[in-house]
Amino acid sequence: MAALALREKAILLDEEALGRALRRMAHEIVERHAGTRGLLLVGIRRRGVPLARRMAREIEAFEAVAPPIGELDITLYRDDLTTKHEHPQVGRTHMPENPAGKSIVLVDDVLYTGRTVRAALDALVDLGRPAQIQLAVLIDRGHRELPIRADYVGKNVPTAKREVVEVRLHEIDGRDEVALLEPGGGPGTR
Amino acid sequence: MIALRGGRLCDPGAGWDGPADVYLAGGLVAAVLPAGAPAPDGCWQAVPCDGLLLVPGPVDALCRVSLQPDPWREDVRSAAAAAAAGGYTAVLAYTGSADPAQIAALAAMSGLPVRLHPVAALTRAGALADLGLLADAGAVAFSDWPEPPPDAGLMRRALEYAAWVGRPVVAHPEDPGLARGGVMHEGTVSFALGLRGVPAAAETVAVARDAALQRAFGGRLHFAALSCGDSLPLLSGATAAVTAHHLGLTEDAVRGYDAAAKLRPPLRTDEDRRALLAAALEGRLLLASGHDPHLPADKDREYDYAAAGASALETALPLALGLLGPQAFVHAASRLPAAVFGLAGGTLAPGRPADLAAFAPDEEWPVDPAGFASRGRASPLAGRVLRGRPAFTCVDGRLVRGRAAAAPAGVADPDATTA
Amino acid sequence: MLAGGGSVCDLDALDAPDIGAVLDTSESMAEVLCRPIPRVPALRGRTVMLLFYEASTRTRHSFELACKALGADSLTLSAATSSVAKGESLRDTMRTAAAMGADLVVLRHPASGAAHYAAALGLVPVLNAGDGTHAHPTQALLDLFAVRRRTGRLEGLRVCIVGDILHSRVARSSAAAFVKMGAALTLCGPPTLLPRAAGPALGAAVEYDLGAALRGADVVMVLRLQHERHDDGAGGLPSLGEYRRGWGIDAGRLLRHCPGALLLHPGPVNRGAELSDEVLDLPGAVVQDQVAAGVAVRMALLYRILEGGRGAE
Repeated sequence: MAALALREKAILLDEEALGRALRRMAHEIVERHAGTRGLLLVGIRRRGVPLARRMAREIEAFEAVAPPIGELDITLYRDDLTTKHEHPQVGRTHMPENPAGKSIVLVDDVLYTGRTVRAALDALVDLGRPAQIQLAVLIDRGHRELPIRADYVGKNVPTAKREVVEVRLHEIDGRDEVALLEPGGGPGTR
Repeated sequence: MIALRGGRLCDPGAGWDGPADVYLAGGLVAAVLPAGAPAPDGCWQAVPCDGLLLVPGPVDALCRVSLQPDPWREDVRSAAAAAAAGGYTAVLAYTGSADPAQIAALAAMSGLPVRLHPVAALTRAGALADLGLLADAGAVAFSDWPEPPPDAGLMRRALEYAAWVGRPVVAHPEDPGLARGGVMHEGTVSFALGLRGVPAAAETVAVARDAALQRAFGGRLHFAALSCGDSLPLLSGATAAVTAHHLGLTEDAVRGYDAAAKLRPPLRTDEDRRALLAAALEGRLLLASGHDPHLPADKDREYDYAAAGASALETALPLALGLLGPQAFVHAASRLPAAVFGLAGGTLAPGRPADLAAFAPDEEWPVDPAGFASRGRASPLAGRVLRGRPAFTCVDGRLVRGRAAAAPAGVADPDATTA
Repeated sequence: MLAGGGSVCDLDALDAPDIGAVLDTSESMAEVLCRPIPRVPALRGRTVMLLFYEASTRTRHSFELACKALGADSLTLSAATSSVAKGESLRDTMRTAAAMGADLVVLRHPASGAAHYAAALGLVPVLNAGDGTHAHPTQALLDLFAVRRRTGRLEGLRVCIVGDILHSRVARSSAAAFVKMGAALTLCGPPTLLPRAAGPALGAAVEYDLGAALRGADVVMVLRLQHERHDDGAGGLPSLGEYRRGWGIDAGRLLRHCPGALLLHPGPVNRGAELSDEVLDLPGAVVQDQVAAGVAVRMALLYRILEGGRGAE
């Protein structure tokens, strides 16, 4: 996989569009939960965590209360580890409070096969019994392999399986945008 | 009647080092002539030896031989076959036996591809063995190797009595108190590996003691195998051997816990190795194989639990030839052993026994114990490439092709030994 | 040595970044152990055989807990209760482990080098849980982990290991680990149990005077007196009293020479033997931290060995 050169095909979201999408999703979350009471945003490592943080800030901006943020590392729950990571890095899971009885919104960058979300659900349930779990993703690119759907979607993007959706965030990548990459052509952009 | 033509003969005892034709007749050397000189009268079977190195028959000064026939363990016949394959024409067979009948039977064994010179036990149940009777039966020396030497009082008696019998005493220089429980050289490597060490002093103390006894009470004293450079200045009037393994390997061979490198005495430091090599090059040490084979089940296991000793007959001479060069090699492997143990070989002057070995000095070959004639399959040299390979030997004037597959073209009949 | 699902027999093949990564993973594992259900399915379906040729409750239980927490199945074979007692060779026992489908063998063995030997057979990867007087890599890593949690760093720490260095696999492995991580190491013990060769072999200073060794130390590791290993009859240790006179660790000595130092002990502690009774109650004593750290560190190693070797599924 690493040997494959990828070329940028399109920018799906620029900085402004990405911000708008997050703002809209934040509003939807508050609307559906009728406020922030009992709400816990849980970001899936790595990029789900800054996304969850940003949505919490948006919510704070119009609700005056920021929901608590959890960080979930699902490496130990994955069933799709491949040789591309010879030694998968196990990150830390951190919950500000016990998830039992909470309304949890799982936050991730891209929804694809659904396996990451499946692993995250297993991990969450092991941490306690939440009242409810919903899913918010910035991009839904299709090609599900499990019966999983998102409750909040920043943007639906039809893709081919060979393509790659890359979410870049200030906190990790130094800029905000979502790019669609495809294999082949000149030097890779990764 | 064999004529070995065109080889390089290295025989410092006769002052030869160069191309020669060697004529063997009636079990003796008939003539040694410059290569291409007219042959003496007679009907000679010519053996072309171009490119080969001919040397007076090598004698192994230290080889353990079990008198117990056992299809799995090394016995007399398998050891003899291994010796022949390794380029030896004679072996000092350390039997550990104090039974004159056993020694006589060994001395009288026929049909072997090498000469076997029995070495009988020095002590039996804490007292002297029947050294005179054993000498009469054919023992050329007395030794308890690989057991440590007896206490100083008994050692004194042994030296005195063996001197009267006219045979040397071969001591295994190891102080039991210092060596107790040790499985390798004591030093930084043993510490890092967590293995109990045998300090160099275990050897030097024993060498100093026995050398002092020999000075005080006489007798002929020979040390079976030295491993420490510090032992050399302590020898006094005693002779000593070194094994090819100790000339070529160091304690580093034990890293990785290779039980094949578990030897007795243990492999020591590179400083020791260099000191021993220098002494051998100066002609002060006999060369020995230290052949001490074991069942695979006793070697292929945890290092701590493995038996000490390795199969050495088929690698010792090639390894030593490469390290010493022909002149020093012949001196250490043939001349000195013959002199110390009172054997007839050591040089190929006319009238001497027709015992010699031919080596392909430039042939490189990987050591593969699976192909050994010996039943011992543990070698610390396994996988290494050695330079110089035994081609054939002559024992008592008869061709012995020890290693059938690689014999040079023109060398006759592998069954010639029994002819 | 971690790469490709390989064996871990000692720390020789691990450099400082490797060790740092294992410690980081151990932090994540420690978090898992704090959860209400301290269990993840990371190694579900994997079988770990614990092959113990030497009695050890602590290490064995620690590995068993680590396997459970990762969802792996563990199978314990103790020398006293198995074919091992009937004289089966280590080689054949390893074959049996392979035939039973073990993905990893955790080996405790009284002979130095046994783990290397078993790993070299190439049948099943081996994780060394202590071999003779050679190495105990998981113990060393848990020592690092416990210390790093307390001090936040390893580099530049002054570490002193006191006791029977000669017979201690813990000393060898922990010393190597601390040195790799940039600590300054001093070894201290009776001359008969601390050969000069230990200094160059481990990259440490050798000091026979306890006071000089302790002075200014940040970490003091006290080794267990291994009575069972003093069978060489060489009189390495005349008596316990003689030992305590020179090298016994008590609160007075610790407070005088290195107040505030962390006190480590690989356990089980012989209270009143190499340590005086009261020192375990000093705030610097982290023996219980070490026990807790043991499970997390072993989880990290199990996970890295088994997960690192897993192909695409």
